[in-house]
Amino acid sequence: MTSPVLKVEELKKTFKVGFARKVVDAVRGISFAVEPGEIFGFLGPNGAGKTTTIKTVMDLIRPTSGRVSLFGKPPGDMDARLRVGYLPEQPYFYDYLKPSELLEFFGKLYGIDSAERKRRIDRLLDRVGLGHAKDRTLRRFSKGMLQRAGLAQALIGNPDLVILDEPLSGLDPIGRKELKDVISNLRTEGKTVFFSSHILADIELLCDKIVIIDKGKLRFFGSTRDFLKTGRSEVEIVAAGVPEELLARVTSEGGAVDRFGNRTKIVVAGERSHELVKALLAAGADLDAVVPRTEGLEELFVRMAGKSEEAAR
Amino acid sequence: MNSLIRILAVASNTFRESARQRAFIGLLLGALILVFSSLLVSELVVYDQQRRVVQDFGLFFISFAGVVIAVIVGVLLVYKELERKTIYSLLSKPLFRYEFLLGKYIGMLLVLLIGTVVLSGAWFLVLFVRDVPVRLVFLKAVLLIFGELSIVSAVAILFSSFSTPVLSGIFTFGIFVVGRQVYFIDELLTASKGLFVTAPQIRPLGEAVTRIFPDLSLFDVAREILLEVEVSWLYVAQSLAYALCYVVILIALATLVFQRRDFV
Repeated sequence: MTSPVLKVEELKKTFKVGFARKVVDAVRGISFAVEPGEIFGFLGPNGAGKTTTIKTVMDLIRPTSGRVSLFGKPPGDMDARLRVGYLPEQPYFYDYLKPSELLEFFGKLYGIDSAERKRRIDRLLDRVGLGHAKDRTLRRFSKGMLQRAGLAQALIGNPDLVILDEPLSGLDPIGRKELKDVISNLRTEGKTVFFSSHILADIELLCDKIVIIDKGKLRFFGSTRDFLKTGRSEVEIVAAGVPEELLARVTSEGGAVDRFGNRTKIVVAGERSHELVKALLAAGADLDAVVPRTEGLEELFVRMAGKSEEAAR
Repeated sequence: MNSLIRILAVASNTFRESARQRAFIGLLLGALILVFSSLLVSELVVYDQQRRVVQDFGLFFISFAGVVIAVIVGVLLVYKELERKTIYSLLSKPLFRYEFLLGKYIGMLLVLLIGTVVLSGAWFLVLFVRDVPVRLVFLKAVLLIFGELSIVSAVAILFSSFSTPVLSGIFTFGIFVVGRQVYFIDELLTASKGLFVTAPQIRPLGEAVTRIFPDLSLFDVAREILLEVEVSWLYVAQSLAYALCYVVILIALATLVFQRRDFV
């Protein structure tokens, strides 16, 4: 069995804010592990504690309690750092530098020799689509271009683990598509990618595993597939000439019925659909459509957040 | 070896930042002010006083401008990294926090070195125009000013590692002012009359100040130049070694503070 690339155990972080030193629990004891080669999604609404957790992993913030390990070592360990690339949320870089100079500077910190640095810089800038802007200072970059420069600097050390904090925010649809392709390609190169997002559709498509946190607490940790299985599976049936007694039965069993002229739309739980279709055919109804509907991450997440709020009340 | 490469990478980036942000234009402007104001002030005095005025004024200006640069650049050095959030991507690289601080400090010393060289060049030009022979002691005086600036900038870095730029600036300037008076306070402590005799209850405070604060008067040889007293190379070397000791202690303290900091 391989050891995790990143392990977070019972992590807690408390901040004291303001003049009155009010205590704020940003992260309240979360645990998860990221295995090699995974694309791992870190989900949660704004203010859930995602960035605090990531900064703790990057040793920018020291935990109040709990443990973080990168490749089995503490996050401040130099060997571990050499194997990690990080893109901060809303990245800002030295705006007086050109992207090639930024990568040159960071490349030196990874101890990459001069010839290899030059080779990697050219390749990376092309890869993130900044080949045309090599000679422009970062001051003249748009937000999307800065995000690309940020991705390039995260990859300059050829890291085994790439940690991206909200990498897709602020990008236009084309930029998002390109960045998702880069993330997918990192997987084929055998890299582990850990990225946070509050945009659930991105994670649903890209990630093997996910962690969901809300208000600093862990809500889910497991495979994306398992998470989606916990969602409701429904079937939508559109038919004409449906007998009234059948509709009454559907409603009494918790199904939804909508009439549009002589057509009726029925939504029932997945497991009841087979029996209902048989009953409709037996009753002589004309079936127009039978469409399975699986609840996506978006709906599931909203439902989960709603539940946690109810529990809190 | 790798650590040195990383420190120098941060230092050269710090230096490049000053160069790209046109800090050196301000420096050239300072040099021009030095030249013109020295010439102007020396015009206002009688001929046999001119030599003294251009000597004194030039040294004072280099020292004053240097301290202003050291305080301003020093207190903004770490603050700008935090404010612009560039510190997140930098400190997440294979770079220890002490390497970051040392690199920043060395980069700043380079800026101060260039500043001192440019201003000294302007001063030597004024001396030449006023027919004052440029003596070796002037070079020694400039070296000592640089030693003083290295302490002031290390103090600025220490404060900026935990405080706001305005407070750091006030504290650093305060330490510079007190540091320049340490010699005087020390003399008062050994005197048979004066402040510490009339108010013995504040004597411990005076003693604490002379023990903790750097004696910056060691780096001011304007009086020796005026009285044409010899300033030996040994004295210069000892004063620079004294500066180095303070710098090491101050940067170590700054590292201790910085090490514990959360970059939220």
